[in-house]
Amino acid sequence: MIEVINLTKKLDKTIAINHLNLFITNGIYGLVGQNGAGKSTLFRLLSDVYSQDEGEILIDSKPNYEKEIKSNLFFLQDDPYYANFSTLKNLTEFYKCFYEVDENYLNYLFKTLNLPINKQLSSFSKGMKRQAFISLALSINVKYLLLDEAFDGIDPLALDLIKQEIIKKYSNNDKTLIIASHNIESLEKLCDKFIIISNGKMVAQGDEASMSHVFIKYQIIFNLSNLKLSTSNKLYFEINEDLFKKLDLHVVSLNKIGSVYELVIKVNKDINPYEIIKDNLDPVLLEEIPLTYNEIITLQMLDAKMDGSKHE
Amino acid sequence: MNKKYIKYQIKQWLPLIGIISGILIITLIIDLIFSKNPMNYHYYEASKSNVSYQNPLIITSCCILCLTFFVPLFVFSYKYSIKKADTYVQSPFKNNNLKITNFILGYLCLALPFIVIFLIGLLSTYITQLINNPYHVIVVPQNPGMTYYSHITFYYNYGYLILFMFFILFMLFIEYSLNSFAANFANNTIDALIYISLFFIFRMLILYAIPQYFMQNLDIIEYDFNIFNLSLTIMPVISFALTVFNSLISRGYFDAKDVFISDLYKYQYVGYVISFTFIIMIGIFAALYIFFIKDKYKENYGRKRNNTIFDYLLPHLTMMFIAFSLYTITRYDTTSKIVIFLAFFVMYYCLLASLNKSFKIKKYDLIFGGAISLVNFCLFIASITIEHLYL
Repeated sequence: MIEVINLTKKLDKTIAINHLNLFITNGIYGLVGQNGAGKSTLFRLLSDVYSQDEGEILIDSKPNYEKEIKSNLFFLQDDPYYANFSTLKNLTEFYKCFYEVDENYLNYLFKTLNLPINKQLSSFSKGMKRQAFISLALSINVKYLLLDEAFDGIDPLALDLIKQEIIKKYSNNDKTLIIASHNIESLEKLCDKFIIISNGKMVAQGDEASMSHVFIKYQIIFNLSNLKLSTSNKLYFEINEDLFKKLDLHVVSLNKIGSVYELVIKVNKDINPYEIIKDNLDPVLLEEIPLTYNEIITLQMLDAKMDGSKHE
Repeated sequence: MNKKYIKYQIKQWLPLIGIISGILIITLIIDLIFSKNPMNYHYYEASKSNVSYQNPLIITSCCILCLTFFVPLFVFSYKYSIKKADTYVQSPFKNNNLKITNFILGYLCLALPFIVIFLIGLLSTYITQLINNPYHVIVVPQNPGMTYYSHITFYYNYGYLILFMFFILFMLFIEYSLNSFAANFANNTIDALIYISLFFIFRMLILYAIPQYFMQNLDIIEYDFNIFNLSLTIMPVISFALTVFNSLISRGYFDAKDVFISDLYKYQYVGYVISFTFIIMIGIFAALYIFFIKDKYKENYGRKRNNTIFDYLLPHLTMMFIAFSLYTITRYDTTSKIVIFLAFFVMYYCLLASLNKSFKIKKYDLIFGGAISLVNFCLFIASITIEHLYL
């Protein structure tokens, strides 16, 4: 169990993590947020690479800087270090100094992913290096594994295989895996819970069920002649976000595909958006359509970004 | 201590140990060429009361002390790159153990090759002396009319040579701690080199000033401050070692009592003894700091340092150092004084450019640099004028 209490970290003059509170139990978590949201900083704080300015990090009810906790947590950064001229064999040797490595499993992964053990790492492609380091991270017997942008540059076949291995190892037991990414598609069919952060603050945390009621997506077709009449006989009329905002709707996105508009609004329990749109804009078609999990996450990020720019 | 890590790190540093050993072997060969010379006769005038003796392994000993400048760069290299810092700092070490382990391993990288090569040198000198010739000192007459010649034959006192080795090992630890202390504050290799150099300059100014103070006050030697006098890294150490040990090393066991120690109190060596004590004290403080003080601001590891007042202080101190080293030239010459002022400014620009890793310097920095150069120049001129008029 990871508890992050009122965590704050300043890097130079920027507040990278801003009074963040988190509660992480076991399972596979996706940590998402746009570039510079504070994902890597959070990982560095959790793994004691950085020290926090304010707040507390407790892992299994103990401070994260304790040796016992550190030996049970592994953070794989987005561009990991390896010594010059080192091979996968040397790399394994290095990590064996600090952690318990399941060598049989590691060799199995290297073989399955066709990674040469005695070839220098510098000659590996970017994707191969990533595969090698993920294999190593999965073979390290720790309770908490943090992967930062781990899937960048990996081909779909290898990615599927790695995802299967992750699910085998980290779902349905007492282990925790947190994968940070700005690319939500890469986390598809993998994470059962998501943490969304923006500007160092938490936007949302939860699983699909808890997040699915936040937004509603409508498919709308307007009859423009009707619309002109209903909006004070203006000669020129454009359907944009402001139109819906005037109706007190919290618009998150509005896209036009042909003559069909796709509108996503944030749910407000006090109002019924369906009725409001129907009464005010008299659309030809107004239909609620389901949102995918990835869409919900993206919308959360988008909404957080909009909130952030409002505050600025 | 993590035994697996120690084993891994030693393996990683084998090339470094190899380079250190290689350099020491070269210096040992140079040492042995001098001591094996069949013309190993040294001539002294009869009037000289003190005859200096050659230490057979002095170059090797000086060399290992100089190598302490570079080893801390490897010891703290885990701080000098973001990637490395991410990997090493998260590793499960207790408190300061990563730093302490690397620090001790760095010392062993220096000490072990030195011990081996020193003992080889000792054995080689012993065999040479048995087969070939001892160290000869010939005292020649002071007056041409006299016919008295004295020929003294010395054998090295190997017991004292081993004692000398332990002394150098101790001083190696002190010098290594001092340089590591400076490197510990840096977050990248260039900064580490600058810090080590700056700390060295600062140390040397203090350490050289102490003996000079005693010389001046005892009115024995004319006060003269010149860069060439500062050429040795650990001058007080070497001076002390040469003074105390050389006399012991070269004597037989039976006449070892007749040594120079009594002279230490008579001449400028009082200053050296004080600087020697001072360097040991700050060296021990540096080692304790590395052992017990945990690093703050780990997020700066591997990153470029923001310009601080320290960046302005560095050129300032360096310029002062160079200016004083040119003291004797500048004392009476007006052209040199102008050149010194320009040199101040150029030095400032070069150092700031290297710190910023760019030759484009902000206007503010240039104006500030000009002001600092002017202040420096005025201080310098004032100090030499006062000294010229009153001292």
